[in-house]
Amino acid sequence: MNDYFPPDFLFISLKGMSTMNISLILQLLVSGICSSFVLLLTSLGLVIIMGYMKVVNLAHTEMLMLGAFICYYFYQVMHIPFVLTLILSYLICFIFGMLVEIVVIRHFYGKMAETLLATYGLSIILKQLALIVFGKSYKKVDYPVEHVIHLNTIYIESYKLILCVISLVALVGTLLLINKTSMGRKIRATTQNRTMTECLGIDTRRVDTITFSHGMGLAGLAGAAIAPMSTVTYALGESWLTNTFMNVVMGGVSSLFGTVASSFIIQEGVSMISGISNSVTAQIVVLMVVIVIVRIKPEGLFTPKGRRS
Amino acid sequence: MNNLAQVLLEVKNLSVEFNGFQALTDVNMKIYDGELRVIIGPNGAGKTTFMDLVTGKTTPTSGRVFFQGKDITGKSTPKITRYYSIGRKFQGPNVFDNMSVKENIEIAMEGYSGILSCVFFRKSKVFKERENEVLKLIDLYQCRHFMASDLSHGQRQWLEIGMVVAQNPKLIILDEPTAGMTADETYKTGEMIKRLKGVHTLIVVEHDMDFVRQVAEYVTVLNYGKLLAEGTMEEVEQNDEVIAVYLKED
Amino acid sequence: MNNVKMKIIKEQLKNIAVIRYIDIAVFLFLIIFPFCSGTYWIYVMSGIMAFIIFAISLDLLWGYTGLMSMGHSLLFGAGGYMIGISSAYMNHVDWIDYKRLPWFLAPLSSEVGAFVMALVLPAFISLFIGLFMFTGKIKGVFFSLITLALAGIAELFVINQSKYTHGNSGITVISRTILSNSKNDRMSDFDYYFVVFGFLILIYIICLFIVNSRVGKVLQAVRENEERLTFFGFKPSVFKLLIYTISGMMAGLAGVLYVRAQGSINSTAVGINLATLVLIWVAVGGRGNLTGAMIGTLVLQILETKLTSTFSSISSDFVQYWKLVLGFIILLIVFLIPKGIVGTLIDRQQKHKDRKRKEVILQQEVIHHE
Repeated sequence: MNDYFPPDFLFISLKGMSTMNISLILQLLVSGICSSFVLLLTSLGLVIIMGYMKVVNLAHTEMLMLGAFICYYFYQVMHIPFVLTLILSYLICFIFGMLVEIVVIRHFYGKMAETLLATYGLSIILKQLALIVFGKSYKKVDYPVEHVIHLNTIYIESYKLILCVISLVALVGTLLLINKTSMGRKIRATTQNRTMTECLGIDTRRVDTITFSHGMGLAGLAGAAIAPMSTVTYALGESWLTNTFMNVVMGGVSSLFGTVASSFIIQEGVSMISGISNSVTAQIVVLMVVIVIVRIKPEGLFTPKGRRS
Repeated sequence: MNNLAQVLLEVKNLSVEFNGFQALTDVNMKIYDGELRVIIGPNGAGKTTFMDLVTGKTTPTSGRVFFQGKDITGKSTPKITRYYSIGRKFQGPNVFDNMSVKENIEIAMEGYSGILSCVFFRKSKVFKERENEVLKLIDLYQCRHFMASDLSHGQRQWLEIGMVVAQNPKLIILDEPTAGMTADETYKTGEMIKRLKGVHTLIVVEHDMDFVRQVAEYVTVLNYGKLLAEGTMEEVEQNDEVIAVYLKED
Repeated sequence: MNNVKMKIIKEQLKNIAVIRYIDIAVFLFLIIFPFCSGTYWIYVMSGIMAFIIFAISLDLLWGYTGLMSMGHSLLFGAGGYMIGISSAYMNHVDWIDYKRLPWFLAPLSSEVGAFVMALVLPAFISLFIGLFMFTGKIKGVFFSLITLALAGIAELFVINQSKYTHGNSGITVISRTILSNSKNDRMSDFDYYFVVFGFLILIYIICLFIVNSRVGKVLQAVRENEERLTFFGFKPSVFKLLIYTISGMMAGLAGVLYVRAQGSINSTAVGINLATLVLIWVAVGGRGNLTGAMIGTLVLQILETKLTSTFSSISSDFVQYWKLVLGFIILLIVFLIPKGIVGTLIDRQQKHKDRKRKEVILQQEVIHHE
């Protein structure tokens, strides 16, 4: 193959395509499903904050990093049971989220540029503190389960299944919170009509704090959950930034269901394409497609159209 | 009504629906060249929707809008404002707060909204004269270097009127130009508008009945998205249905 | 007659905004600087001036037009990499495996071609992105997030294409001239400094011309109230496209100057870190007035270099602490002076002027009523 044909940055070769067979496709499909749940889990906190509060939280991925470090110290070092670590991670990040909301976020509601800059400043602070305190070395967190399930020719790591379960629990838990609890009602009311909600005697400021903290807590939970499969280092957040944000934007910022669908589209896409090419190219191609989709439907895939077009 | 004058704007069977809500139903209206038409009606009657449809902000579900005989239904706002020459003043003062009064008028000035005309723009003597003319019409010549955000509410309303005048459209639509003004300011605005009559065709949407009496020649009444009555101010004021609607409001 | 002329000139001088005087002060500082500094600082300052051009290009887009691009480094790096790839190819560097450049990179086989490509490619990219987004009513946050994603993708792409870009290791560019790739052509730090300075002045004048023209006013109107503009017959997307392309081209130029000053380029030049860094410079300095972009970049970069070299003896990783401080600085700026250093200055000056004018008018009215 000479240097002119085809644009070889696509790396998609006919040779690659012909080695695809059913079992490989199934394997990619299955691992894609697992990755989709992981992406959903890591994006959940962001959907809450961006969807219900209209706050673009650039510190979201640093919370993933924080959760991963919490997992390292509690689970790996102190041998606290994995599930308990996850819960503790959620709680610690929830409380941290409360602090952040009260000290920083609440002053900039409605001011997009200020919120972006403030949350970005926060993310830098978190990252640099992690770098200074924990150093550049990678921390390794052991898998809570080592077992690998075999189904015919398909491999599924039990740990990945656990992640899917955690992701579903987080999703269902959040749905229940939003739709079945009184706090959830208050959150929905505040999002739809703040003034009216305040007139009904509800402390919307407390609602804001709780909503934001829940989002941060979820991010911490996600970070702890993915710690075993990630390189736990100060830079962990960076690798998730583009994916989580594009995922939330494509799904429709205020639609939980949209984010679920969007996670699947993205990760299955990456999984399938990385079968015929390399994973980096798969990422690039999928992200480009996502951008095109967002351009065509900026309100998101599953957001209903507003009252006035 | 003067039947010899040309029809400038005509809407035929205009209807628009938003997610099940019928905002306008089968509205037929003719606005004549050089006229000053006032549209009144209770809140939610469809007055703003009507303006949105005429200026291209919204597309009707059915019916057509004709301007100077040409069908402008569904065309884009920049096209309608620049090519077909319709100017609109919004309800709240809707000006550029980050610029001075003078700069606001300059931006709005007719003939320089295309990219090329902006790139190769030179301020001519005619331009400066026209600018000062408009500033004096709206009584903001003294404040021309002030930031728009520093003006009083009434002055900002005048600024926006001035911007629409600078745009020099054939049809000027004014949406509640006296909203939030004092009685003195309202009267002044009325005189400003009367001075514009004849040079431009005007549609004024209003609530303030004294103001309407000050400027109106011919009035159209809208209610629940339908045309309720049309006529001179006296005719409309004595119309039983109109009285019922407005008395019912009280 | 002369008295009248003097009066008119004095009036006009008063009307020139204070910030232009600050600009002149900055330029004077930059002119004198190399005469009182060692080669290390001259070399550093050349890079900083390239960054200033980069920041000014972002200010046109963000400060004036309101388009907060969180991926502007994509254009900066694109320009820089054109020079890098060209230099590597023409010097037959050891890691190069390919014999011929692909057709779309063909101009890179000549120095002039590389320079042209370094301006054209970023312009083309921003034109493409702009067409894609502005026609689709992509605004505000979505524009920021998509540009952020694009910078992220670009970083991945550059590392992936290591055949041409040498991946993570980056490309070393020996020649320090504008239009030469030969190893032997290396201007002294001093001479190259003034080349960059010359470009800075050129870009500054162009930007001054743009922002004071009608186009500049329209862009500010786009920032303020885009929809209202359409009712005056404007097509905002055309203006946004124009400024994005110009801004992209300037960013590409900055990339060229930077690569030649630094002597190397790597994937961080297109990545999210630089993209957000330039946002910080402009935010700290103040957006929407050109001066802020210059001041913000100067202050923060000089501080970083100065503090790093001072404290590097104590801690080799001082940069980490500096970045931490930077994070706090942004928070401080957003809390205390959200308009940035220069922005707040202008605000005060404007309020002062308006107060004085109002006093005059009130006095006139009082006299009128008496």
